[in-house]
Amino acid sequence: MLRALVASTAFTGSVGAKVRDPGEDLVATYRALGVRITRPTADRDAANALLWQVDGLGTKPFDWPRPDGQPVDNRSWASPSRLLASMDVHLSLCGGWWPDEGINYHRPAWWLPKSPIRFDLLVDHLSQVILHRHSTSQLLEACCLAVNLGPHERITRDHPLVRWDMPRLLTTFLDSPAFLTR
Amino acid sequence: MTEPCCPEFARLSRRGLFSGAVALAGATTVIGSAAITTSTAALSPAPAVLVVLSLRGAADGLSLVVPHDDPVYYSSRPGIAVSATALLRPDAKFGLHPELAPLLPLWDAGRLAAVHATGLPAPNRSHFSAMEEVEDADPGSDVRTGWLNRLIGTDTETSPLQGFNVGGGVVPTSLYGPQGVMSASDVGSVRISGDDKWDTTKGRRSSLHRLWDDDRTTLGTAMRSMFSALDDFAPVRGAADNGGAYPRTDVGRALSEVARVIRGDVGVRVITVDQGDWDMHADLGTAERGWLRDNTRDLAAAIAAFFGDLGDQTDKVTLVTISEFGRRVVENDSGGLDHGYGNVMFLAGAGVRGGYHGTMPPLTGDLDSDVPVTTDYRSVLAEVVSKRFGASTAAVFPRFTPEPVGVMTSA
Repeated sequence: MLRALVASTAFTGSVGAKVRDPGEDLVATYRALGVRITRPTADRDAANALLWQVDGLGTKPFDWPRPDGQPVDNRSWASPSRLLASMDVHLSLCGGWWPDEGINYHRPAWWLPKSPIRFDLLVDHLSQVILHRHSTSQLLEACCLAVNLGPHERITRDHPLVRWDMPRLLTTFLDSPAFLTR
Repeated sequence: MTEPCCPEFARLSRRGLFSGAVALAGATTVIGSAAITTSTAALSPAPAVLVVLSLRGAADGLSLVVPHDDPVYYSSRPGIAVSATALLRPDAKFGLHPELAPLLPLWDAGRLAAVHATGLPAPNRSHFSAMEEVEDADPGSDVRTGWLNRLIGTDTETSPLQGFNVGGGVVPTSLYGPQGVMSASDVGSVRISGDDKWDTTKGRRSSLHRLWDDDRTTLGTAMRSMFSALDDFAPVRGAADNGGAYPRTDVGRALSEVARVIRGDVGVRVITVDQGDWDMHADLGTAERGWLRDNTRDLAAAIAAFFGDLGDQTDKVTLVTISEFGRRVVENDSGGLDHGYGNVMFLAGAGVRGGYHGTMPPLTGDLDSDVPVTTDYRSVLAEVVSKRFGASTAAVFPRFTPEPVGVMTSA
């Protein structure tokens, strides 16, 4: 039966049309940002804190109170409140602000494949790293708006973008339709 | 060693509810063990506001409103009964727990009512299952829509600000459904992270608009609804935070956020607050000290502060408390009470006919004795729905014929 399901046109047609639920969103965010977490020794450690993060997004693993299981649909996870919660978690992780123990984040300059690099090429690079696809004109425009830069801006390791605004740039990818679906 | 609360409730109280699971429903706020949810649509002013305060874990109604005329109450509870002489505002049958004293001004003004022996039409002693049944309030239907979501669906408004859950995570079943609602732990968290004072070009918002405005999926709809709700919510952020006047507890903080949402007057009709910690299987305590006394004191102080903090919205607001079920008549060997059946509901504020309501038959003192249910809880809620909102009780409580309770005055 599983083979039949996977072979169906409905299965292939659903790619990119399914909303990531809280667990999927959080795990994908940790993966996309390449953060490393260590074995926890205190409540505050990331390995514990991520449970509170996912709870804030909607529900923790195995926490659904009813025997019918947590919903596997789009509507249940597409609400204004969930979107606000997701954007909050995304930005917090992009900035490396919380969790702040038992976790190693990449430094902002790590995201530059070379220095200097033109901003539009950086956006395309990040799109491939985070979203596994090339950038689009719409995504580039959104990134330009997010950090108030033009597409041809020359980015170096000591550019204000790297010094201050990398979280705002990174979270633009995580808050995009491409990231919140699977 | 005895677990003071049962394992099922311990799991439930950690449950993650949907984070405003329903697109455009309302907002939920969770504060510690208390969670707040509200609902609204670019919204006309609310004709009435209903605050539903859920006492999770099943509060013991026989301690809160004591049937002091019944000798079985005293013989069944040698260690935990509340003495008749300590009761407040006793009539021939009932009296209030002494720690409800902060509510006496409301009681004396005829704005606080207690309806005893209310509950589900048949006993259900599972916390999660009873909670679902109480909040869905449409037995036999497999549609996941709660009664408060149906209530906000009876008008033409569609804003997610119609309903607001003050709490974190998932909105309660009562508010879950096709009508959008909001959910947040506090007013301050209803915001887009990064849309802050350092974003001098307002690039965060315009960037999100660029990404989502053309998106026709369910998520895109939710994002647009979120933008609209945030803009409409602005007056609430401007409303004074009077939290200092409340107990510094989960329910105190939650109700202070609720009052702020109401004073913002952005059209929120329904607000839910979950307050946990009433599952007292052991060590319930006495009227003078202990778990139930502390909870009762906290609850009464928070509700009293709330009704003093509503400003010009006071005459719109009705508050109802509800538990998933009541507790046994007979005290157990651990000084607590196990899961029972009938319970008391409190109603306060606009439209309430104060005093004691409901019929309490003589109790029995066997180990399995419950407070019987003489008033279906939906009859109580139906009166609120029809008298305060002018809504069809058939739409909110399908296939149910309410019986008159007399706890609400005519509009």
